[in-house]
Amino acid sequence: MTHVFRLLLVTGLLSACSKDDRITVVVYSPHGPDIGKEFEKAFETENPGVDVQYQPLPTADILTRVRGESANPSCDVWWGAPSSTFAIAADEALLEPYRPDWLAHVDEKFHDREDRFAPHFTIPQVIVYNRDRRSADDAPTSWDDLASDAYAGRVVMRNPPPSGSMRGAFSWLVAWKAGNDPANTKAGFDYLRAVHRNTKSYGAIPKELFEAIKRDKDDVVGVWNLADAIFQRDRYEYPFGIAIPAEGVPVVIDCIALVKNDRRSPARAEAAKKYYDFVTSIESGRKLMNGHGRILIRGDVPAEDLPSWHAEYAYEPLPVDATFAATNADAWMSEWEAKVKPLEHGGS
Amino acid sequence: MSRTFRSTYRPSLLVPALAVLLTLVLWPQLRILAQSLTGADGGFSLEHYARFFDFERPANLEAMWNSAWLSVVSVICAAAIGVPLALLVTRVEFPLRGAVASLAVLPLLLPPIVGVLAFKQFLFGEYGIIPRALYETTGIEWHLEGFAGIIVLHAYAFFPLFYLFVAAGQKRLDPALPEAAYSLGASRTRTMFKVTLPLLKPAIAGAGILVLLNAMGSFSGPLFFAPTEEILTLRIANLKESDTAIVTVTSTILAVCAFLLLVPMRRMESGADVVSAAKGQITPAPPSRTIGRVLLGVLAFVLIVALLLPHLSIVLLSFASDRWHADDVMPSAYTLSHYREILSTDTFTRPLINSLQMSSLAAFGNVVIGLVIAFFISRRRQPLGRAVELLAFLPLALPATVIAFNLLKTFSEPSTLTFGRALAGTWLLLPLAYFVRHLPIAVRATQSAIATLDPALIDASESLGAGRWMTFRRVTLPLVLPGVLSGALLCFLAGLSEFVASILIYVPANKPIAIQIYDSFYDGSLGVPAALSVLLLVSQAFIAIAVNRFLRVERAQ
Repeated sequence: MTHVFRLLLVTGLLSACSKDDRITVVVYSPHGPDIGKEFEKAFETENPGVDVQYQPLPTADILTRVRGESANPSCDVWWGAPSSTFAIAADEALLEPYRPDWLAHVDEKFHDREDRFAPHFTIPQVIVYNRDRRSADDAPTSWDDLASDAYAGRVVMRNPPPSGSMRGAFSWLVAWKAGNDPANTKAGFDYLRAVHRNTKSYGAIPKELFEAIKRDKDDVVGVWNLADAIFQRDRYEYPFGIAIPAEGVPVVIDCIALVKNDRRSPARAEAAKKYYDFVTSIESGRKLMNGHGRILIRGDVPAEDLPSWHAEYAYEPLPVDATFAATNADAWMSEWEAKVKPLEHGGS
Repeated sequence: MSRTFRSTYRPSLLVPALAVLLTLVLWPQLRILAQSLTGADGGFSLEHYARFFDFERPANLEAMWNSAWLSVVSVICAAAIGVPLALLVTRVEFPLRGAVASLAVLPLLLPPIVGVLAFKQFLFGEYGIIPRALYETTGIEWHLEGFAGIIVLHAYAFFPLFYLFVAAGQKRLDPALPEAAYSLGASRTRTMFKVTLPLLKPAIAGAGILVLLNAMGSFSGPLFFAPTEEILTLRIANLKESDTAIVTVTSTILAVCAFLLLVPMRRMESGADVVSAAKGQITPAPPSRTIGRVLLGVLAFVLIVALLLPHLSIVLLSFASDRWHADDVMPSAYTLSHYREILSTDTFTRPLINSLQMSSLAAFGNVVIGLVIAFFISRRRQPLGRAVELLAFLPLALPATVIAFNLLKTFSEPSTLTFGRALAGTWLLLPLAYFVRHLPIAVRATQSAIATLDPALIDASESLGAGRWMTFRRVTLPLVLPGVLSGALLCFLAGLSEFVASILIYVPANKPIAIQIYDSFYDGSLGVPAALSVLLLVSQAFIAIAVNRFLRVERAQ
């Protein structure tokens, strides 16, 4: 019996040895672990009393979690989701209003009317191809290419519903094809249906999309956000070429917010705001732009702070009413799941 | 089974155990059932069921159909491997037989998230090693995806259940019966199909139902191989917040199916005991011709490689650089950087400690409650005992997604059952889910330990004047303890591997190791999740060996 008790003792000790008396700030974010780790470390160095726990999650999962945890919120700062997703969370009273000083530098039309979330980056959605397999002259030049016969079975995509990027891209493409006319969304869905027919595969996670573009024998092209495409290319040596259609690109307005929690201690609330201010500061912005492909939405960024590729990948937004796209993004994604996704695809 | 332990049974212990069972197993099911029958206006309504069975929007029906046929095909494929293998290993002597016999259970010990990574990302997926090698050498384009991928994964993961059940059934089989048939002139084939297999029917059916339940509840396979297809467990995970009503219906339907399958399975398992009256055992005989021996040896070798393939691929990938060239079949460069990265920060230690804490807490609960329940069941065969037994085994039948969803929803608001606090979003909910999921393992382990207990020892103790509690503490408990502790070990190891319930209800404060593996893969690396998997497998093996040594010392004392 003594052995058994010794075993229990060891387990008990194990349970006791992970105590930490710093204030915890939990961050849910789709921005990936590299950004997470870098800013966690930088913030903790400046604020040794705070333990940042950065939790990388897909956008849709964050919304699900924040909803499910509303009785006991774990998350303090929700860093990153399209304004359309934040609008849903805000309407369900899951977010805490906060107005950072720098918001004065952001165009009014991107603001939430009650400041329950704040716009942070602009994230353009582009077409990514394999530059080892085709030259830039051979790359798609228009969003219409993805729906054309030439690309039958040669489009790959991230499984759209969980992805903030794909929600943003789809909503803009539908709004664009509909000419911003709510009565004409059929044109938008005709387009999505044609793209779906051409789509060879949907990756369960972004990585599968990148691997397909790199390795697929059929020389496939994919839709992804510019920031991450550049980041993945540099970090994992993916041979990504970037095609920016002349008619313009969907632009996701990526935002940040504090999650509502009435039981949060004042010290923790304070620390959460500090982290929020830290990652949205112009100094952090410089790192985010140059090291991670993000572009700040605020208008007071000095030109010399912009990354070198910014000029190389100059883009125009599609002629889309951003509010029209954002307010319908969720309904359109459900529509796509119910009506388009079940159809045959693969293009052969 | 007529022998009972009346003297050592203490009804007062049953009350808290039953309370736990009712609160954590029965209550969430009933609440979800009630919610599924509550309409938008708050009154009784079948509107959600009407929506579920709506032929205009067939996603739910399609999911039900896909889950059903996938499970049935998985059972057939797993049986096609497991049954012949068990017959072969128990009846025929061939080279490497011992290795095959012990390695055949290996898939059961592979954590689900590790298994699906190995199958889809490393081995058989579109850019996996094997399709690449096949294309480079023969030009044939083949890879696993979609439903086929799920079925192959299930066949690998679940055939050991058939293997174990049939091998155990064989041991209980009276060798005189097939011998009699053979000596009366039946051919070997005829004997096999007319005598042996029918005698093994309870074992095969028992395994079949268990595999069916496992396949129906499978989540990680569909998540990676068929993310855009409609499958019940995926729908629960995807819609759990946005369309809770439909998920309560889905969850209820799955629970009812599971329950209907559980009843005959338990009956078959107890029925299997009747065969055990047999005398003697079948001993493996060498095949009559050398060529047969050689062929079987080659087959055994191939089988061992196939069984170890996922493990080998994980070890290989954990040392491979993440920067693959587009046409590489095998990694082009090797590195220790993944291990260095993991061990230099707390990305491995923190989730591992979380998992160790939660699993040990859950396993401790499993042992205590499992012990009380198993003694209660062993004492009573009347309706109450049966009811408690079914309740204790219900989690075995429920898909983990359903268990997790039901706990999450039941405890998302403060209730008197949880002392006025909401558990959703707290550290505690996940260990509770582990406890519920793995309770049947503990109960069953204790039941088999009790079955081998000699009541004469207890009678002796009592007639020598020891009280009930003294007898339990000094005689009964030490005798069943090794069995109970192996049950605890299984619960603990299962907790360390747990992915399906975890992904639905973990919070940052208790992020388990399986989720860390998923996350690091999601973040774009192959090497880091592979290295994490290797470290997890090594930790599990280390713990299993250490506990087994404890038990051996314990027995020797």
